[in-house]
Amino acid sequence: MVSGSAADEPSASRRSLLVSLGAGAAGVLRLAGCGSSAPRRSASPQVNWPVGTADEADLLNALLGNEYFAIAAYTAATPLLTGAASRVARQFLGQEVLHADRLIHLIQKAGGAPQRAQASYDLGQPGSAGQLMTLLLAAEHRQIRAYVQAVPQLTSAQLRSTVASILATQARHAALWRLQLGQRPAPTALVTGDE
Amino acid sequence: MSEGGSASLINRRAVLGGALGGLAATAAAPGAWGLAAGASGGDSKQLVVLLGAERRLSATYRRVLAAGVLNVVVAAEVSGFAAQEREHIGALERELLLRGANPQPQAPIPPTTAVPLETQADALGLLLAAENMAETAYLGAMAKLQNPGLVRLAAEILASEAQHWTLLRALQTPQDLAGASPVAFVTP
Repeated sequence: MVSGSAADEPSASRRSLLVSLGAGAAGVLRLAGCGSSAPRRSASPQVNWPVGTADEADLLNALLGNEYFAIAAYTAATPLLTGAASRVARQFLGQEVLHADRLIHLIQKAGGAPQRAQASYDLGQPGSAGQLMTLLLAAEHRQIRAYVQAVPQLTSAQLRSTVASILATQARHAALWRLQLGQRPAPTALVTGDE
Repeated sequence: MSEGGSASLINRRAVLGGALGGLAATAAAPGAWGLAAGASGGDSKQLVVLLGAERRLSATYRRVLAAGVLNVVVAAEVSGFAAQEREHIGALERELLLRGANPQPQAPIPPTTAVPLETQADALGLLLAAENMAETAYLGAMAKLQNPGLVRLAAEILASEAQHWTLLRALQTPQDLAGASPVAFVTP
């Protein structure tokens, strides 16, 4: 079984990822890598992120849980991929970490307590590059479904736009993994995560 | 956060000045789309804006495909995206009809002739800029739409446009797949 714990990530891979993400994202990555650590505040407090309600905090927390799952999947799969797939996975991992960081801040602004990442995730037993990319595609679809369902439930317009911007990124990720897997990369006119 | 570098910015400016330049004027005058007086609510107005964006985008795809500058493989992909844009138009038209508005434009869509299309790179650059404009329209509407069903529809179409952008970028620079999703947040 592939362990999804980011804490299990080889140190060489983490160093490489830290370099690619830049110093500003390093703290964010630590957050993702340590399931038992408390979420940290961003280094850019001057940003006026939207304020949500308690219900919206719960909704955002559910989205955060899916982001943690995706981060775990990318953390486990990236070192096992090679070539273009490895470069894509590394970049997407960085973007998922930034999504989680943004969600944490939104939850805190709404007065909620961000959930913590689990110590490990059941990611199945992917053995080949194709199986690893299938795992990552599944993680993206899981997120797309959640974001599509969440956006209409958000009452804050600004919050809705922020979450929609994350949804659009997840849709891009899914298209590229489908392309890498030799599948139709954009099979439907309406993207629901059930493609 | 900008996407696509300076070449795309140039294309985007060209599109803003030409191919999609009429969008703002069209959106500011919903009467031009035959919006019924009784259906002039906020959601209907947003639907009109989105429909205008989709029609412009669809016209851009038609122009690119008619230019004959795409190779067979790229043309097949682009044709698929164009078909999905027509589905988006159909979905938005249905929603407008349900709200008692006439979704048909009273004036024809202006031709998209501002950007020369002599190479495949020109064509893909134009489509990337057009898709970016569509994403911007949907992100803007997301904050203004009230009906949850419409919000969801707009979200699903936004995600589709985002996929088109990424795949067009992958066709443009296949050696740099990671660059096809360059930012963590798709913003206007």
